Amino acid sequence: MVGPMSVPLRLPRLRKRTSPKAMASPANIQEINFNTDAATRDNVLISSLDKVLNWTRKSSVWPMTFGLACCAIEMMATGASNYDIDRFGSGPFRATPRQADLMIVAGTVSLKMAPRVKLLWEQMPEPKYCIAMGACTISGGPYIKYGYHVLKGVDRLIPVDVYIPGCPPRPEALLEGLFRIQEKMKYERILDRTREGLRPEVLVD
Amino acid sequence: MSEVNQMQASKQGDVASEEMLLNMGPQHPSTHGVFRVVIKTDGEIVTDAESHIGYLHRCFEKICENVNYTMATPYTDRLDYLMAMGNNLGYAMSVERLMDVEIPERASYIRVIVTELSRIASHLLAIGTYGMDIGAITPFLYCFRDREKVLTILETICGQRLNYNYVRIGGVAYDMDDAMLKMCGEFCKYFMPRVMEYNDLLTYNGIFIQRTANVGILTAEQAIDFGCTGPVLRGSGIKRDLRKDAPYSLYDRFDFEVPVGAGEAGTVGDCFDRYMVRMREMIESVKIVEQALSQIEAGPFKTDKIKAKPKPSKGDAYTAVENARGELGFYLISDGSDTAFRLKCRSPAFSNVSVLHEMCRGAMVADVVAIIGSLDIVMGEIDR
Amino acid sequence: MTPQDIASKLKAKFGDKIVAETLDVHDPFCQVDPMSIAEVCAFMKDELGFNYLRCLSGVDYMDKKKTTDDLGVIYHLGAIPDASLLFCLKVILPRTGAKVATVENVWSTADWHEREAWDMFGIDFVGHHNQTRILCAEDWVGHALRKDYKSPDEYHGIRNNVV
Repeated sequence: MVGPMSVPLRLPRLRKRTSPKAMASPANIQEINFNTDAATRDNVLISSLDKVLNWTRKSSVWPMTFGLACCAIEMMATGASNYDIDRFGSGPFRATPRQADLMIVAGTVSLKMAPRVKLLWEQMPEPKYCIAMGACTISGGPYIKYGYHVLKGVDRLIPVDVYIPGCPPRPEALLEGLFRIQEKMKYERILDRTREGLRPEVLVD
Repeated sequence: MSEVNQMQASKQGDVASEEMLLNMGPQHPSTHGVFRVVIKTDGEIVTDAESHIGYLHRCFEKICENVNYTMATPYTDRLDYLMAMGNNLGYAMSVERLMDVEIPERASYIRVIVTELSRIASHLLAIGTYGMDIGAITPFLYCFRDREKVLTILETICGQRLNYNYVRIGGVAYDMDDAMLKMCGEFCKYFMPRVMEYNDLLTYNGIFIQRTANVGILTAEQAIDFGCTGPVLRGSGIKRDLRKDAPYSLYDRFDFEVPVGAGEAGTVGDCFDRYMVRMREMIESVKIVEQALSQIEAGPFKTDKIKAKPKPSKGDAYTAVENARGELGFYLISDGSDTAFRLKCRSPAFSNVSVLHEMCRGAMVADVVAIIGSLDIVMGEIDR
Repeated sequence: MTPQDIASKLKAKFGDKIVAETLDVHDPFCQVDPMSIAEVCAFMKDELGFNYLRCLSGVDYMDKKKTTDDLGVIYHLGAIPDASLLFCLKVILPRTGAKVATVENVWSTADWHEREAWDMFGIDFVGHHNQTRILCAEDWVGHALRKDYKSPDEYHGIRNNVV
């Protein structure tokens, strides 16, 4: 998205301190030449729109408060003082799917719960991401053989971006999963809304 | 029309007022898992509540009929995943009772130490999330800080943070060395002053008291009738603790109190009493750990009479231990093979939460969250 | 009160409704006629002081050789705060048309326990006010803890059994 080299910008010279009054005056609105003006070269960043959007998106991932079982306790631990997921821009656990863009399926999904999980996923706005946390959500885990009432993997229900093994995974593992999601967000394309090429990858192995 | 007139009008039937059904859960931040309550409200007052459980039904009992006794131990961890050591202990004791074996003394001491540390971790989470449910977020962070310390100790001992599989049939999985025992002792010294900190943060907070005192009152008769145990029953003023009343393992060697609710802020059996019981139980647990640390002696950490595939003799027995939430019982029927014929888990939270509709009746809608939080439910053991 | 006393008191009061007694095991018990379990339990609670139902378990006694196919319900009774007062009642039921009187009017905690036994074993508790499934989904088919239960291959279009 690199535009023409000379664009009109409402930008005062930042290096030289000017009074607020002077900044607002029309005399300061000028044509800036990116090639020559040293002040502009130091202060204006040129990037693609995709990159800027993805950067903002990955720096504020809002997960949904959605604990199912034991893994939810480790998810809480990740959010609490020792591991502090806030450091990575993913602090605000939202109580409603409509405000969230990351669903951490933390715990065993039973068949009674399965339609609700699907409904919650569909209520989330695009673009949305899903972490399958723990053995149960990956494959049914310890309940795979005799668990008549357990869903054998949440990917039979909703698309999953990152799988985190463990029973339950440590908070560090969840953080690593979040980084992988953020890594994935870097390559989003605003014009490619289908995101089909992004889905079936298994990032954590 | 003034308010009084409006009220009179609604009484006379001029203004139609109808009941509203409010659906809380299964996905709700304050239900501590996947628990659903359908609340019938009249304005802001709850007239009835109906609990729906089973969203985490993981077929524990069916699995135990299919895998052998040793393989079933990890599944007991995942019942009450906040106090997995207590579940291991209850299960191991129920098998040992049918096998008639003596457990070495050191193993019993280790069991007591890890169970009580686990109880502290469980209560810390209960208190922290209870504060968060009501709106105080800071205590949650403080509680998790100390909970992590307990988890670090338990991880050092057995290598897992949550689902330990440490207390095995016939003893424990690994021995605790002196460095680990020292860690436990240091934690006890560290933890005692912290309880004061929680009191300053939460217990004496005016808003907290207003939200919990006189809310969700559970009378002693109701509590017994609905089979409530643990802090819920003790909060209603009844001194019942299996560690004291029917001592198992080595609990008759320790000197500790059984705290009961006394209606300090309001009425006996309200949310504040249940909270206070948990608070005081943590101190008692520290006392037990300290005594166990001073009494423990060298010796074997598991009995050599039990093989890898234990085969209890034919028969049935119901064994109960005091978990963080109350009486955890395992009813085990053995047919003499290496697999349980039937294993029923009597989980404390299952009975505790069945009284919810009685407590919610007449409360405000906002108090339902406070009441559910004070019951300290864990869906893993309710739905099994 | 020893288990011997309790058993003899029950015998004296209910006569042949107490089918059998076994006292030299871990948990001493009496086997009771299914339809009179409610009155026996009411007597236990009001006269003998068993105010607390510790556990109510359903059991499927069908073994691998299929020598028997009975169902059973086990009641573990206790008292609060007296922890030494313990007794156990058992009921044996035929597999088809298993019916037993409800005890939810004696102890309210039996409500959910009986619903669970219905859900898992298909034991019909006569007189229960709301006998619906509690753990499995409402439209679940079959009773999961019966020994001859086979888990369904599909539930609402979700493949369930591992291929």
